[in-house]
Amino acid sequence: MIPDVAVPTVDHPSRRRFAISPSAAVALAWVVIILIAGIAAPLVAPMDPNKQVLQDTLLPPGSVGRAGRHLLGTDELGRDIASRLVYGIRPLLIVITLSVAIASLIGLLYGLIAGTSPRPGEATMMRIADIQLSIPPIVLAVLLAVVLAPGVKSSVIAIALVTWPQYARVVRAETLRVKTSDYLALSRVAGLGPLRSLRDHIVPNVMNTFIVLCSLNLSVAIIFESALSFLGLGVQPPTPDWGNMLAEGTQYLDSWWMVVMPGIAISLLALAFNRLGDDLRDRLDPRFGTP
Amino acid sequence: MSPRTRAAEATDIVLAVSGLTIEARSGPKAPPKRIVEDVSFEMRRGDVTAIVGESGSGKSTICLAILRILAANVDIVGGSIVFEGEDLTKMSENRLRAIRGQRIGIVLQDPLSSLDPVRKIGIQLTESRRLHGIDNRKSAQVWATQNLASLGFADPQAILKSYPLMLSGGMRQRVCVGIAYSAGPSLLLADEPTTALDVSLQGRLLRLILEQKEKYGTSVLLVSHDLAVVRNVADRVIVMYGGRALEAGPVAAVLGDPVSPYTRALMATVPTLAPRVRTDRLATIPLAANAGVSDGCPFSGRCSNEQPRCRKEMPPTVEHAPGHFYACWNPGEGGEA
Repeated sequence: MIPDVAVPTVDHPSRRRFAISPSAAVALAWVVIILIAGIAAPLVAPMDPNKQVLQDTLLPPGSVGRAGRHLLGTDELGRDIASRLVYGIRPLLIVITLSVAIASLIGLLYGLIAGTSPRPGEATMMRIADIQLSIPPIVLAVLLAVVLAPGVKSSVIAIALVTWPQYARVVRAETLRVKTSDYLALSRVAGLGPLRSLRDHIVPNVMNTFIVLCSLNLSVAIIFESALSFLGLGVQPPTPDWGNMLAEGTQYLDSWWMVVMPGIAISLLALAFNRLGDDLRDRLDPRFGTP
Repeated sequence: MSPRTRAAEATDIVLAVSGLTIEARSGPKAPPKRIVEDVSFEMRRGDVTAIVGESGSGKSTICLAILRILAANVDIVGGSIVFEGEDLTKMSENRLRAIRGQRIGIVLQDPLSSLDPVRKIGIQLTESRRLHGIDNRKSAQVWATQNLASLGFADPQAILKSYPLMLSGGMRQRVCVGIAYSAGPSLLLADEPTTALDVSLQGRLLRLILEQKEKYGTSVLLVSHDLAVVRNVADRVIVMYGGRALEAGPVAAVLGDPVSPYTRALMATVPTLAPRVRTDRLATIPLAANAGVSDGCPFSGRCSNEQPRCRKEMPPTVEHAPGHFYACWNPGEGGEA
């Protein structure tokens, strides 16, 4: 027997998995707060989001109106901005989760099939994805809003249609990387069939990148959803929505809070998802976990 | 030799490659290029056979061809690879799957890319045994713990649970050796197993390969360009150049009394540490290597013993001494060797 020269420094798994950086902790806390606020909107929101108090229009943040203290001010119809922001979470979360779920699943399957297909089929599939990518997202969204009625459904479909090729391309590239690796050749040597090697080697290797891409794309979806609503192609008024509120605020730039409050809300949530995606990558991928 | 011993020896042949010819297609219009031409050799049970030659001589291709895991644009176009009585070149993919891993194992050059980065060592080490029904999940665990100890790991439990990136290159290559031997194969292909390792670890890994070979009674096909290693561990050696076997035979005969001018040139390029023999420049073989296989001898153009017909016609393989073969029109001593 050959004695060991060095005992490996195997990082203790529990320490590696649970240590969280302060910025990621803040991001996680923010996402959780938004989630809870969105689900429990009627309990959290101080006032009715659609109640108009026409004597109290365009009150600056902190002022006291007839309905009580408006923490973030009121809009041009005297509605409480804080309450509207809280109620605006729901449509936003529905649109981003559905669109990311649909786009990522389509992209994952598409990329796996393309990556494991022989060359001509693979090339055709990826050119189709490229064509999809070449269509400007907003043009596609306008078209969809015209064909379907603008709303949650059209936003979900538009965002999914625009973003699925991203997943497909990344998954295909990762599949090819794994497919040409020595360890896949060795798994064939071990006697693994093509389907088992897809399940045991390709999918697990692709998964990390895929999950990280999904979480990062949540923030992309937030921006898209807000942009669609901003243009009037997404969630329709009077349903409160962050993009809508931003659009209305641009009419009253003297009352800066109408633009700044939803703007900050959109940016903070997108930023939080982004930071969480980064953190997820750090802890999911063993390639980043080595001491 | 009596007919009886001859028959006994014939059944002792684990692998018989004959007339193996392999082509690579580089594009739909380009003509295919021969990368291995008419290579034949036999391996007996428990033997270590080495293939030496420079990069691009087709050494590794032969290994991959034996397992039929060549790249998609590379095909076996002629010859046979008979392993334990069955021709691997004509075998169905299903039948092959039963042989791969269980009857034939392989160790590749690069331990960094030979292991799946997202699966734990324990799972990868026992994959073959579980796939071929040697072990179930539980007994595989027991086997892996014992086996890791014999591979020289001090803390098998920690290794089983770790990911490849937590191990050093040398440790990973030892795991790869363990995987290759895991099902007790009768043939191990070692494709430059020590090339990516530190010099101080090379001997250790080779010793490990040989120890395990004794344990399982495996024959080892060692691809290497390290003549010192080959001289120490191999029983027989095949010298390849440009896709052809130019000389083959017992190690002592081929490296001690080389017939082919190429073998002599190859041996002359080995750097030495002896101070008196050291010169300003490392010895090289003049001119660039021929790409692919031509009609003539692949070494023609660089050979010091060249004759006009060397370029036109491949010399036949001749038996120089019992078991010692060479292919050359003009093997006579001479040149700078």
